[in-house]
Amino acid sequence: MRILIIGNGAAGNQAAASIRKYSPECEILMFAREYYSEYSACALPDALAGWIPINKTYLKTLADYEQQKIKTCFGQEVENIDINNQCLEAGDKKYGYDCLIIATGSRPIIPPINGSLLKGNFVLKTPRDIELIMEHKPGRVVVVGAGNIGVETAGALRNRGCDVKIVEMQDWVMPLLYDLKSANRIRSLLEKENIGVFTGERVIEVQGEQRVERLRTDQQDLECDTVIWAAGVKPNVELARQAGLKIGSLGGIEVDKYMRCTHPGVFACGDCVQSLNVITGKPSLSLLWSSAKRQADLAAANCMGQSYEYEGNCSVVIEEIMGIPCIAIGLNLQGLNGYEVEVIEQESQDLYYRLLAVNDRIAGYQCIGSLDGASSIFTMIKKGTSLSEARRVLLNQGLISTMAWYIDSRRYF
Amino acid sequence: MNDYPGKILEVNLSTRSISSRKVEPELIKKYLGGIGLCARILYDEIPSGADPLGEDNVLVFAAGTLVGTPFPTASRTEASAKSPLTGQFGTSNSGAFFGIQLKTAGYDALVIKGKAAEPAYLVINDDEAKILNAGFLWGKECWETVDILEQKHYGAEIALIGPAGENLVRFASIENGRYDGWGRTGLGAVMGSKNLKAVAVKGSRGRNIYDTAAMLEAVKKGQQLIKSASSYMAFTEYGTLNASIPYGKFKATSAHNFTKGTLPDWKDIGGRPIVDKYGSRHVACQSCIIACGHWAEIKEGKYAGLRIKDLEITPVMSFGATVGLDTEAIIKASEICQRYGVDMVSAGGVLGFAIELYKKGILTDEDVGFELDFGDDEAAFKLLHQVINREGIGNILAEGTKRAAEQFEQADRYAIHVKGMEIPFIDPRGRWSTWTLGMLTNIRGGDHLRCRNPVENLRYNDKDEAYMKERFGFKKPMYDRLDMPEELKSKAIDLENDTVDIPEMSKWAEDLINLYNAVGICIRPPVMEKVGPTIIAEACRAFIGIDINAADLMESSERTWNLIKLFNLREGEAVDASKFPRRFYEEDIDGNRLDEAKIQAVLEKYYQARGWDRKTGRPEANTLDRLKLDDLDN
Amino acid sequence: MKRIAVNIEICDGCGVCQLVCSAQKAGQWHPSFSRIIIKRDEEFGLNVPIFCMHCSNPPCETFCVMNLIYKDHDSDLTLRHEDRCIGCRACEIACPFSAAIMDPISEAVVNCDLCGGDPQCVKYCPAGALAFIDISEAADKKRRQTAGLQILEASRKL
Repeated sequence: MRILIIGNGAAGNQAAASIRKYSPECEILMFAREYYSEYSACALPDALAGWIPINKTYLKTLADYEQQKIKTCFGQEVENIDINNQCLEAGDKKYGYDCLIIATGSRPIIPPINGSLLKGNFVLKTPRDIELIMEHKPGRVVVVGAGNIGVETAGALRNRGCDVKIVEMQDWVMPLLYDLKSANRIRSLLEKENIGVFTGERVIEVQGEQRVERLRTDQQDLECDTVIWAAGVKPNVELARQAGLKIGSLGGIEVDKYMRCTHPGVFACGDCVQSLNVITGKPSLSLLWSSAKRQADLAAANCMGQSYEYEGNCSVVIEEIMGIPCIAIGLNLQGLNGYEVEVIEQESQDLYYRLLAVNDRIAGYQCIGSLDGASSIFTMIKKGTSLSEARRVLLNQGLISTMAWYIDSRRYF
Repeated sequence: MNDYPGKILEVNLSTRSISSRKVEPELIKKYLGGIGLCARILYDEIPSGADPLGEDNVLVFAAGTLVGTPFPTASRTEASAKSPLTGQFGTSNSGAFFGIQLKTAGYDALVIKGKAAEPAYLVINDDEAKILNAGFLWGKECWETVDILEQKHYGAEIALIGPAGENLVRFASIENGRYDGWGRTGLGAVMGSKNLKAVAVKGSRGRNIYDTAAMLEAVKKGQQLIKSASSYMAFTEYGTLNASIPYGKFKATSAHNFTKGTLPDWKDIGGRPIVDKYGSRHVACQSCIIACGHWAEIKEGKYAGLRIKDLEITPVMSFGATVGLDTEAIIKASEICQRYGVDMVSAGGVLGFAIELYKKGILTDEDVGFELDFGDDEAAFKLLHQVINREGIGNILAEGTKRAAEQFEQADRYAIHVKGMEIPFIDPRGRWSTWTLGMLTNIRGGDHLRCRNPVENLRYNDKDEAYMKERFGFKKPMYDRLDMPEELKSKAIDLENDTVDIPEMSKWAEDLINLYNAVGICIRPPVMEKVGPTIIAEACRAFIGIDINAADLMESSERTWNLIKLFNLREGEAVDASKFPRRFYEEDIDGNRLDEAKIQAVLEKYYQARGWDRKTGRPEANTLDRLKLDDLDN
Repeated sequence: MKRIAVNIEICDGCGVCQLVCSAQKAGQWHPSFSRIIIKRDEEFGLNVPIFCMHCSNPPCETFCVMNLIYKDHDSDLTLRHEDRCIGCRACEIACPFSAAIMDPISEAVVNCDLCGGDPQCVKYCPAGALAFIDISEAADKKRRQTAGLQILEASRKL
């Protein structure tokens, strides 16, 4: 049996590793545009900040691929997939397959505006980007986009002693994860760290002669020598579209519960697919490491003849800002738009949390100040536990004694 | 040495200043920690003659040296201040989890001075300490306050006062979480007088170990020692209630304000069977291997649904014997004391005193407003709430038995206290022992917790030898295993005649318990029987890496005891204050009354053993020299 | 295959296991540096030790952004290359049992590794609430413990 994997990220490598669990012998070929071995995108801000060396972000060496018996075709762009004849073309060669796993991932969005190609514009997607940024010797930095990558990048460069500002188009920071009130807490943490935060501002252009000199928004000009684009990512689906696979409404490859694409023998997983959200049951893009690995695990199992269903994605993002842990699980009010949402919240000097529930079912959780009990709430959200059921367990001696790990979460109910 | 000692955190509520300083290693060598640190700080920092409820009083919490390690029972924290009840050294010791949080926040002691302008509470989070407004907590009972503060400061351990402390009831306690507390000597009123509602501590730092392997070895040894104690099994099962039946049998309980010796159905009210009836799972303090506490619940009747931790001898005696309540009412009484923050022993003593005055006609219906009788729980609780809120007659009783007795003619003979502190449940007329002598020599007044024969044998109650000696009652192996210097051992225990020399043993027992309070371990009998200075020294060496041996430890402990005595003398302790209440000399229980002359002879010998001058009460010059107590200011 | 079994009826919450574990593994005493954590619940009088269950398909493995968590082939334990941990705490949230612990000394998230087959918490547990037994025995032992408790209760009543 011959399995081809396109992509060398979290999903591609997890798929290869999972296949090996089922079959130590089958042939695995992995294609990637770049020469890197696998690295952890989530560790990049830590490396940018200088907390860990860049080489620590690599998760594998080329020898590891060999040991796993994965043939690597790195530096080879896959030009075409012929799904009808079960083969793909890369570097003038054709490779036939029994199963194909598409894990092409995503890429950062840089909007086509003036000056976005000037020297001094960066993204943070690969370890190479860190080297480029550091070679540029950033002094005054504007990070565009206050999502989790933007916030982490800003914190990292602040740690390097840069003067850092964040510009966010929407009205508050991390708008896809937090609601206004919790985001305001995060904002004040960032400001305490001397990071300038400007929300509700649209970037118009980047100005400069040879290199970046300032960034103009619809409200002001920000002097800077470096612009980092963290305004979201976009699934890499061109190859799949060209091959005739269906692309979903959100721009990700459409897959069913078994991670199968719309053509037999082809699976897709990771950032490039759109999957169902575990809470709403609606399609969504889950651009998270954990989702990629879980989906890849299932895609691999299913291409090896198993039939495991994907339970759906559920977002969890943890940040530490100024030493304060912040966590968002599930959906925020924006994500629950259209539903009637019950909000339980509490605020004190050191802690803010809110629990969101739809039809009594726990749908989202945001907390600034503590991670205690968060794992229990994550489990509850994934399992679709209702508020009343959670309270019943938490307030019953017999039940809680068999599920004592829930005790820490009692204070949220 | 490693990172031990830690720091002392000093909070001045008047100026709202917070500072911390490193503890000098010399100070630790001399005073260890816990009560040792408390004694030195109080002696140095409280001006002579200070008002216990005034701004000058200083409240200290000091965790024992070994707290934070798994050394068996190392959980205890001493709290000290000048006592509003006795006007002398006020101190109390509590276990649970406050100490380990204080230690892991980096502090050996917390010193609280001054007085907050408005109700405040203190939050300590490692290096960060804040004085916050407690207006929203003032007036709230303890359990509710703990609920609120636990929610606000998750994972913190909380020391707090209830309404009794706020109202400056002179025997108010500081509660340690919901169910434990620094009960005696009225420290809650000190906290109340400082407008301090609570202290919430959370520590996130580890403590270094000088020699992990040696420490774990000492832990294992300590565990084995305690487990091999003759009373270990009984204590893991029934806790302190083991003693209540023998004391009932000896007619040595505080029944009906020390008039009866015992009660007819004593076994059912306060004996081991109540643990079987109301108790469920065991519960331990930090690092304890005995776990004498139980969760107790009343399932039916008028107090149905009431849950507390601990069925202990103290409430059983104080409310069961002194006030004559039944078991379920005892549990209710414990709850009231814990919720409103009063010392159970003193509360029981004051109630018993008031009921007797009422029965003797000294207190009238007019004074009280309702009928009082031994065994009437509703009336007792009504009166207790009046005391807590200082309403009506309660306002007088809230001053403690001694002061209240001064308000009524002829009341003195019913006031049961030593040096102003209500004495707990043992009646020396029923059983004279090292324990009962300890009530006279105790540095905090009428109290049973600072002196007890480590090998007390409750099977015997020989009155023949009374006063100077009690029966040893064990065979030679017990004698051999007792961790005590040989010379002293042969003086204190006479194997041939099977007797214990009470004055000698008292000195040893006081110093030993003082050592426990300094290093932070518990005085439960299985510990006292087996854990001596040798194993403690081994643990101290392994943990903090100071060169210290068993003799050094005992000397340090004796030093602390002497320092406290000096404090008490400075604050006006009378030479002849070591006296039992009149009743014990004048009224018989079961044909027994105390013989003043013989007691004086025992005290004489005790003073000799201590190296104290009987005429002035002061430690003699060569005693102070020997203990290197020559660096005191006054 | 041997695992730690807990009898929550016996655990009295003394926390010796936590301190011994933290001393052995983190090198310092602190209850929360331990790989075994006692959940204390005063409301219901519960003390329940929690530690890694060594799930057969561990969620922490999926959540680890450094791919450093793995199932050991021979022992079937969930183990970590702790030196590679960047302390992002994702596995802590992923663990349904709250059994992944942040060790602030090594700045890595860790879980119980059974001390290489000689768990110290079991060795020092004074109450005997922890036992290191073959997992096939565990269910059986639970039954016997329940039976044992009933006998104990009965004997007290005599």
